[in-house]
Amino acid sequence: MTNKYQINQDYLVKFADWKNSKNENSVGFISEIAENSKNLFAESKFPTTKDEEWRFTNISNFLKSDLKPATFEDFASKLIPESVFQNSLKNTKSIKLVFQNGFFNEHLSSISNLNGKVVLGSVDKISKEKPELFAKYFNKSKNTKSTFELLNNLFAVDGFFLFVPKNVVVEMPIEVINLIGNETQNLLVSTHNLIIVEENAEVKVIFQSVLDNSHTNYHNYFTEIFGGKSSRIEIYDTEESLINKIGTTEIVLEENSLFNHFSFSLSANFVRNNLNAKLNGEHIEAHFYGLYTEKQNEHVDNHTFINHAKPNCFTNEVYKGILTDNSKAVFSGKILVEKDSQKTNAYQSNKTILLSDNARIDTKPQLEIYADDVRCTHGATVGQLDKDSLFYIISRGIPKEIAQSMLIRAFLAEVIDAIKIPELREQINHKVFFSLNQREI
Amino acid sequence: MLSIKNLKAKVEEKDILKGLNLIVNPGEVHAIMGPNGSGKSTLANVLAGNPNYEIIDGEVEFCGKNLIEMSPEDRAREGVFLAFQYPIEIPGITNSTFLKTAIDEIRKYRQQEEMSPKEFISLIKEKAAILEMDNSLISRSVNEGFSGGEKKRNEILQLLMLNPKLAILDETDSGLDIDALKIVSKGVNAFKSKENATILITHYQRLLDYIIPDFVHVLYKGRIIKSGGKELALELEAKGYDWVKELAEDEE
Repeated sequence: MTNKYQINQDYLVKFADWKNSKNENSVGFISEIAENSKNLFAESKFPTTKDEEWRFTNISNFLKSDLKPATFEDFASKLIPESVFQNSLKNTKSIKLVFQNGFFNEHLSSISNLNGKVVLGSVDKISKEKPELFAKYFNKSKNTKSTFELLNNLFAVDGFFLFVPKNVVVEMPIEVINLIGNETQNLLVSTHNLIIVEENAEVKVIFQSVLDNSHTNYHNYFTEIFGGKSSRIEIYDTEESLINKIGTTEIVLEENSLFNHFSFSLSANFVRNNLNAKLNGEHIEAHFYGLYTEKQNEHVDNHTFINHAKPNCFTNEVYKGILTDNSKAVFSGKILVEKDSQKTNAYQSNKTILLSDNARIDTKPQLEIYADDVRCTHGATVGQLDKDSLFYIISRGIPKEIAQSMLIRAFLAEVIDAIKIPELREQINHKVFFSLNQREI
Repeated sequence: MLSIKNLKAKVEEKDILKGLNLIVNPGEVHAIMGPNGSGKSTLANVLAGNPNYEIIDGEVEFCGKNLIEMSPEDRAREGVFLAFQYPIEIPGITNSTFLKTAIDEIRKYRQQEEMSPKEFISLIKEKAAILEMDNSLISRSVNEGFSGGEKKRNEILQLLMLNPKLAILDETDSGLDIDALKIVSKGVNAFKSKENATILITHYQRLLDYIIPDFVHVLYKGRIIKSGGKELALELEAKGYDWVKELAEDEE
């Protein structure tokens, strides 16, 4: 092992300490992945703004924060159950799984009325009970991993696991609540999630990262999603106020599947989402929605990569945001259409409204097309609330602040109205206005 | 009700209104006609308080108050309504939310109680029926996906719901087929009363077959160059604008 990068060495020292202190039950399959990642991690440099993919997102705060990788002891910190569920669904029946600093908290979770064939819960536990499922899918969605993904491989001992077998429809949404933070230290919380949805099966999952205290904590996630033939999957990924989050979602879809992904960053402190989807079969329909509303010095960066590896697929990507104060957002959307992927339909748009002079968006749409019979469009706009529209509303006697809220709602309607769970739609709507200090409409 | 004296206004550094005078009394319908670029829409926008238009000189008094000093929202609350030539779409905000908000804000300004939801629903149904609008339109987003004719009809629905003292209709007839024109006219005629007044801004005479004006004014180069009764509109229709333009230029 070379002494190449100091920060990597620091984390490897932390890894050695952490391994000794962690719950002894968490050895086995996952520890093997960690051991195997050590050398790769030592050689893998953390990105700087000189790297093209990180030009607009500076991770120096992360590097400076001297984070302590979460251990099983952090699991034991006291919790107020009401605060755990303050942002979860209340009037909609749902399955709730709580992860505390990365560890599954069965006591706070509620799993009921579930088809007996569905397997869900803790990656750690189920990897021991069903090693065959893990061998096939776990950590298999991509070969070359980034530094943060390798960091996740080192420290993630648990995460959310879901297996929906062939022809099974899970009616209730599944909420995965990640509580981040303890009372004394800056934590690095690593979770590795795996979702397998078999042929003609259907499921909806809501991920939520909830901050438990005011320390500087980072949630480093790695989520792998495998959608089988004709599967129907909805994923909602939401960040609570003040959270720091860096991670990757890898999606592999098979023919005829229908996939909907939503990414919400509503007043999150620092977010970098990497979303990579591979369309590995024909006649797939996939929608990727993003919504970001940021204020003060908040920063959100969405990097998406959609790979049309097979012909006759449809994808639609819509990312919309509203930025105020000194907040910053980044959008990078790449669509790759491979040589034989004829009859591809791929649409992408990124639109941002800036409510202040100091807010900033860097947007970079990219199309890479190797097939000749395709329909692909992309576009990015940045602007202010439309003055003529504002006048129209005000001219009906409506005060300016409500008129502004109406235009914000109108601008985001395309994303908010696409949310398929009514209560979640209302919650997101509420958080949009709350996060921008605007009157709710 | 409305008294405009020597009104001069500009938009984007271009002088449009160059000393316009007009008096409108309760119960009257005034048609303002004129060729393109004469300042018709500017007049409508200036009266409603569009911040893109700058008033250089003149006075506008509305029900005894100085209109120019009022914010656009207060003008609406005092009873000025502009039916837009190009109504905007507001996705995600339903017609009923939009109108209920507007009505309650106007009532708040007048120190009246909010309208009850029940009262609101029966009122909007009654007004929508006049305009032969489907009830489903009430729960649809404001103007979203509406055809040109539906948008204009929706403007008249707003007019009937807000029931202002002064209605200014900016080219409401443009882009309407004859059936839609009749329905829109029916709505405006239902609005008309002895207490309120209407200013119709139009390029064509045909609207005036359905909404009979008490006065017709010809606006040209930012000034009213000729006024008359409804027969003036017919004369303009028959002879075009050239003869009034010549009259105006002779005067200069």
